[in-house]
Amino acid sequence: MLRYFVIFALLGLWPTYIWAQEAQEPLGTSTSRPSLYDPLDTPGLRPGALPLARPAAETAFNPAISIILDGGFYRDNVRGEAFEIIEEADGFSRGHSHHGHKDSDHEHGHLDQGFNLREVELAISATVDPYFDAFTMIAFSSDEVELEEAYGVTRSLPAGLRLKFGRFLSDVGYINKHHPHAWHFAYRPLMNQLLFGSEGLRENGLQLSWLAPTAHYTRLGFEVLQGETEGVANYEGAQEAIEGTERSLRSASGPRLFTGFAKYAPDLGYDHALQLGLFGGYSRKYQNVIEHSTRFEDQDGKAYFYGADAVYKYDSQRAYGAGDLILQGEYAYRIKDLNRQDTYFAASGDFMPGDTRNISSFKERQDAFYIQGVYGLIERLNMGLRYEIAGLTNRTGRGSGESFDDSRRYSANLTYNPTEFSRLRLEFSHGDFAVEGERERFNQVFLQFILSLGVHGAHSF
Amino acid sequence: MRLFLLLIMLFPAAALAEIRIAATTSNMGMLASEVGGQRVRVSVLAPPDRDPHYLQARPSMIAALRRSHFVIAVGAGLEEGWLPAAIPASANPNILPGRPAYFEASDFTQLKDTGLQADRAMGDAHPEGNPHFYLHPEKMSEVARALAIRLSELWPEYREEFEKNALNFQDRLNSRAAKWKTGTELVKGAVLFHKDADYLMDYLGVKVYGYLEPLPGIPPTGRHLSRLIQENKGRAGVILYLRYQPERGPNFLAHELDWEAKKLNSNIPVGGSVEDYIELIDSWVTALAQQNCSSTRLLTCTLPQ
Repeated sequence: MLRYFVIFALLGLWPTYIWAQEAQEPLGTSTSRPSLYDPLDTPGLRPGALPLARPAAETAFNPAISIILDGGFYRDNVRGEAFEIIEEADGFSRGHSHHGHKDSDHEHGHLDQGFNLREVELAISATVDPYFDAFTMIAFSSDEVELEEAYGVTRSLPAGLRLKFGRFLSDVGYINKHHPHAWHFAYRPLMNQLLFGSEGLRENGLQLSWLAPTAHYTRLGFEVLQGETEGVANYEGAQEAIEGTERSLRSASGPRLFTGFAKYAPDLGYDHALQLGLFGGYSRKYQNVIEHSTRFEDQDGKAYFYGADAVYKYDSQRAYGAGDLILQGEYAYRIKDLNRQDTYFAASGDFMPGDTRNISSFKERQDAFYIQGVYGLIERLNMGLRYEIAGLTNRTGRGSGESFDDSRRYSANLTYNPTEFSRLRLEFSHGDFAVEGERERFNQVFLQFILSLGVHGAHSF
Repeated sequence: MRLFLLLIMLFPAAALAEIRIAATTSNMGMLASEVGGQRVRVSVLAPPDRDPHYLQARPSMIAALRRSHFVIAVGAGLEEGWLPAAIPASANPNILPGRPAYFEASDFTQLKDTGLQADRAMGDAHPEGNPHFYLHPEKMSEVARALAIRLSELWPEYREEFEKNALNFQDRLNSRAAKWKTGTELVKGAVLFHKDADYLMDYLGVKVYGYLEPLPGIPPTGRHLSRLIQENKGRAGVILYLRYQPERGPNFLAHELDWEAKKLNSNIPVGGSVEDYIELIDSWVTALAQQNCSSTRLLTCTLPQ
């Protein structure tokens, strides 16, 4: 018993001993003033008294979860066909009954006449360990679940390098990596939708980027991607021979798509921000199958694209977004270099199944751009205007060669943001599209709501 | 792991005599330059005339973070709209949250309103506590001391300098405390726009009669304003709001109550020193003291020098 008492007494004396040692060696400060350190601690351990409880919002090891609801009321004046018209724009449609996608009459991003729940996005992010962060976003719509993104990204690479891997939205251009809830307009820009795809440029692969240690933001990156995006890297793979005739499409293992981007943002002070970007990409495989009534038209080749993007933001000194201005524009140019071979699967005139025809090589050239502006009219209320053209350059060497008209869309909206977490938008669009040489015009109106639940997501530029 | 820590601790100091610090706000920048003295060069990410809660991770912030050896943030959710996006984008592993070169000031002082219900129906609530402690001089001194300790851990060769600077900072603020407190002795109360001056009102012993925002982050509504008018009719007081907050509500209330509405700053100019901070607190004290000029004519309307 006595032994324990002695031990406890010694333990109790220990801090006093330490303190006495400390007291003999003041910490280089004048003795009349208190030291920075608690005298009972060894130096450097803790600064004064700490708050009793850690912040309640810290969710320890739980990932940060947010859910975004996106829906509303939609009407157009073409009996709900506006989204089909957009996809049939001359020079950008991949043939009327292209492979694989014809089963669904509710394509991604299409809205029904009336009430819609466009999608529910579930975003989960967390730090995996000292080396990786991870992010996943899953989109639920009325009839499908889609994995939007799922990637890891390094935390600790030196020299400004970051490696991203998994499934992600490419960093080419400006709008491509933004999710629909972060757009200032309800619909994906034509430039992004028609040149890349209904989901933009989203791929499985790797991205290595480097942030230069310069006063002005300079970021360079390249991506090695599987190559499946319909607009620039459509892949069908080898097709079964017909009556002993090999189809011209060959399988090619990934990666098939390679992209690069550069972003530069001069430091213009606190009121103004400008970011300029250049990007390009090369797909070593672009394949397309158009099913005609008696033959498959196989196109096999490669594709490349390049473009530029610019964003300017003005931050007014007024509260709740009043007076803020965002101007944003992007341009992209796409070339497909294709070899064509048609193979009959049914008899037609002089041709028997297995016969081939139209063996030729040609190029297709298309471009598209948009420019948009969003201005904070008053507190919490923005107005947006957008002008888009797809096909300023719109040529194909297919057949005897052809030049198509361009397609345009004009959009205007009012967006009311009650808080950072909710958004109500009324958007009008007028489309003026070239479809099979005719002009197809339509008007769309969409009263949209976007609600964010869960953690406060940070706003990237 | 030990090698890694060693690298973090030695590399910045060994390779560069200058410590580059990124501060989220100009008040935090002032702390960093007061404590760091001539050893540090500070860049401020958020301008003093904007609400630091509603910013985006702009490229210029990311570029500044990329080149920083140390980050000082207010914390408690104030910068949650942009800092968590900007830091990973800066590809600078040293300043990631949790690492020694990431310093969240609100971790080192007791916050008000901690543990409030995390319910967004209550507006833009911060369950971590009210992050606007930076208008409380004593809390700033506490943070300065903690900052000196943290900087000394990373750059032990400057330890004596940092410690001396932190204590000088504290002494300078303490030397002014009596004037601030006597300047507002007779002040009854004030209406604020947001909970951003709560700490200062506590420090000065001034009662907060209410807020123009019905809930944090929601602009004033007619119904809320008429309730404020009802509650404060016949009282003496002053309305204090920030440069970036809309002035319609404050002016309306001032007119109805026959009070004055004063537009003030919550942050010092970028690159400012402790003297600018003292001037900032002076401006609040003067604004508060003024309510006695018109009503009682007892006090001089400027601060005693």
